Amino acid sequence: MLKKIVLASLVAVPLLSIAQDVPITGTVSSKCIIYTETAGVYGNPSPSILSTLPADGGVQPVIRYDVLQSGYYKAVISTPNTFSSSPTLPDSVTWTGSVDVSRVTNAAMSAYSTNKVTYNNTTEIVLSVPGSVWFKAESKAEYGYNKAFPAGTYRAMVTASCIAI
Amino acid sequence: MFRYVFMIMALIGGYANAHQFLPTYPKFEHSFITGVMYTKMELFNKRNDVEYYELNVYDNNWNSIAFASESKIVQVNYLQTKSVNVYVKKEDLVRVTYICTESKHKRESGQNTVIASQICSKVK
Repeated sequence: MLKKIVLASLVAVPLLSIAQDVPITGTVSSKCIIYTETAGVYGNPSPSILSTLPADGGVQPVIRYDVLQSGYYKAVISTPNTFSSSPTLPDSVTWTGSVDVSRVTNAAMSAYSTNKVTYNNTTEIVLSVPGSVWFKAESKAEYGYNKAFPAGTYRAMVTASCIAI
Repeated sequence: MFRYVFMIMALIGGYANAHQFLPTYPKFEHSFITGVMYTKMELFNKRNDVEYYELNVYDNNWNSIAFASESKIVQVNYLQTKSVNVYVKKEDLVRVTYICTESKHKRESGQNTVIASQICSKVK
């Protein structure tokens, strides 16, 4: 009789101990990650022009934005309006630039091309669809009036921002 | 379906350089100094071309607001995550809207064009 009670209690104790809730918790938080895919290179199709267009021998900078939730961030991309380093330039430089959608992971992101807001050298796009989107920037610098750029290395900066809204 | 596409894209894009700054909507708490509030931010550097990030605090018109931190230029090695405490005076807290990090680049960097990345969290 005693053996049966001991055996029954030994069986019951582990059963009691495994009858516990195991909570699983998870947090979904919004975040934005900026990937610099291609830094870009200026081509020199004529002595007075530096351009990132492939047709001008350049490479366009490509920036990828990853957002995990929609409507939490906007992308703000500024094309250069000055060189960050260059030889001395006595004459003025005329800058033009643009930003456009290059690749998308969701077809709804194609609306970014039409919904973008552009002012000065800056383009703003509300990242309203979760996923990855690639933007390519184009930058062109013209020196004086058909004047040749002095020899040297020219560097300029594209600023890609992801701003919480 | 979208989840698979996102995973594939993440794997394909694994070589790229990335910058991440969290949380999106930070909350300020009382610090150990009377009249000073602080929040903890987390910066992740997956850009192998960048080692330094500048920290800034702005109001909703993008005017700078005085703040304190361990360092305004934060050194974060490649693939390193760094926690940064941002301290703001309690009376300035109502104006604080954005906390941003921006990548800083060396003048002699090898590329013709350089992409500076900036991520701003919003204080609501």
